[in-house]
Amino acid sequence: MTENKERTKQSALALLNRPNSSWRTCIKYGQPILQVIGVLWVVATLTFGLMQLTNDDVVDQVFSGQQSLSIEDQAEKRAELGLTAPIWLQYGRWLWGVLQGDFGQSMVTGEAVSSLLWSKLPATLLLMGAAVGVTLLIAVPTGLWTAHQKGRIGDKLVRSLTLFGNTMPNFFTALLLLYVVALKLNWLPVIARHNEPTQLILPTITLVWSMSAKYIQQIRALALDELSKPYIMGLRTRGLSWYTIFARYVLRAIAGPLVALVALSCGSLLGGVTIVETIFMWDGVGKMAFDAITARDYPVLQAYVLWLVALYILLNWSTDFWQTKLNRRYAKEADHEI
Amino acid sequence: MKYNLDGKQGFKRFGKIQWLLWGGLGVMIFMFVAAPVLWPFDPYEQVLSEVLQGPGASHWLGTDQYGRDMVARILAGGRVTVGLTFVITVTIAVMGTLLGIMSAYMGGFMSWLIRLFINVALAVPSLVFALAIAAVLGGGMGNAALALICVAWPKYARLARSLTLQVKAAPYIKIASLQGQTKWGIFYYHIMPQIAGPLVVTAVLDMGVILMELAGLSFLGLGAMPPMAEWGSMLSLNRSLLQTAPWLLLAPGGAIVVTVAYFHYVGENLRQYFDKI
Repeated sequence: MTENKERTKQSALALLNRPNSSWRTCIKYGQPILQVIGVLWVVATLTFGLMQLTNDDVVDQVFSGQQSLSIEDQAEKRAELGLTAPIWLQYGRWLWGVLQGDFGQSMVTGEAVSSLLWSKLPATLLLMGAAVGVTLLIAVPTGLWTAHQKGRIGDKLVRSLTLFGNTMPNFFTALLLLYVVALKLNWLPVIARHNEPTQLILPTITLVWSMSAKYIQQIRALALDELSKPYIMGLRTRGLSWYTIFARYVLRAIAGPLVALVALSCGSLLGGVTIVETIFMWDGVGKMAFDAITARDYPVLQAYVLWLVALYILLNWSTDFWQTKLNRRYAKEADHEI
Repeated sequence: MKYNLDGKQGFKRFGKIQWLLWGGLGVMIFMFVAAPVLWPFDPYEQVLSEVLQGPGASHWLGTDQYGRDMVARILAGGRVTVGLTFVITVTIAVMGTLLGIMSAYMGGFMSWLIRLFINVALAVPSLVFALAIAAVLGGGMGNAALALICVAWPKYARLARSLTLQVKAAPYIKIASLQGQTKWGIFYYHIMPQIAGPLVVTAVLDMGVILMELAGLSFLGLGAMPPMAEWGSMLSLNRSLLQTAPWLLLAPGGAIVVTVAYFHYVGENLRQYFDKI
């Protein structure tokens, strides 16, 4: 009897562990999707809760300037906008709206928040893309070169330079650049007109300055790690040039971690560009958030947070995908628990 | 990041780094605390006859548009910025570590909740959230600090949790438990000395980052309110004088760079030290 039971259990387990079992596929793909949905829901709830902490609501914001509105009228307005409803009902309505892509209206301009966000997003993505692209162009060759030159004068020089990149906050870099490039050398106008390509130069340099420092360090460390492996010695004995070794082997080996690094810094860029965009008057999402903060325009801020989180999660997800594509060894490592 | 976890030395051989750490800290604290006694000028006193003076013999770093001495303001600002950075880092390190260890030790709802927070924090660009929190709470240095604490602690929880799990899985922990060591004893004698190093390194390296983020929030007007002297808000306040008085920007900016570089240097040294053992 027990033997029979055992056998049933075994066969059930075998069914479950079969590589093409649809049940396993469901778990494999369903779990991360559920996780992403869960994280998004928690973040949405957190932002909603956060905005409830504010003391003033829409009616205070928009109508307090107008003296004509009496207290009774204000109360009526609140009832009309559904602000007197119990909090869970408001939450439900808001969440339902967000699910349909409706983030409400800006308290200041009355514009729909989602269309405002859509109009600002390309500028930020352009700045981000430019910064990441230039950083990679600079940091990959420099990082590999310093790994090759380890301990020599060039390596030391670059490393002391990267210390500056690491320790200068980007608002200070931005102001220094403005002073030197725009005011002293007169190469670029201080405040460029909108949509001019020259306007992109200074914010990009600011971001590249701090990012490339981090990248050079990381790439150098990764390359040194790879260079210490015995197969490099084997390649050298076979007579391959350092150029070939770096281009064909080392670069391929560090591609996976590099992609993860890019995704991570894209995430921090999404949040960190606020300051840079404000200084250089770059009309992107960051400046929009700053303006929303100064005007206490909470729906815009709410949408900003939710959007960036969604974007960041998407980035992280695609990173995992590319990492497994670039290096099959990561397929196993991705499983371990944090 | 890979950590060497089988050192028993803990904090014994500290050597050069110890002097670097405590010496630098001592100099910094002395400078900030003793500033009102040592330096003749008041950071908040407006002397309108001495407006916008360049660096010179009496005012080493010049004066700003209200005639306030920049050296005094830098020192007063350092008390706020660096002091608060310490408070924030210690708070998040202690809080995050305790919660992380808790979640590694016990299962159930608390562990699930902490893990959820860690997962959410990992999936979210932290500065965006800090901005939102600071904006909702309104300006003020305390609120900016609270915002940074809210977004930064899960990093430590995650590190402490994974390190604790890693150490706990070792066979000798089971042997210690078989020999009758209590749970608390195992934690105190076996786990804590091994996870302390990486956590301290992370905290010291983090101080520079936190300082920059705090100054950044102030720069955006979400931290210190004028006339409070704070490095980030000093930079933002003097921004309009970029052309006429660049020293007003170089002084607080330079102060930030030097302090962050110090934390960075100490952190890197500490890491190398802990990697070696």
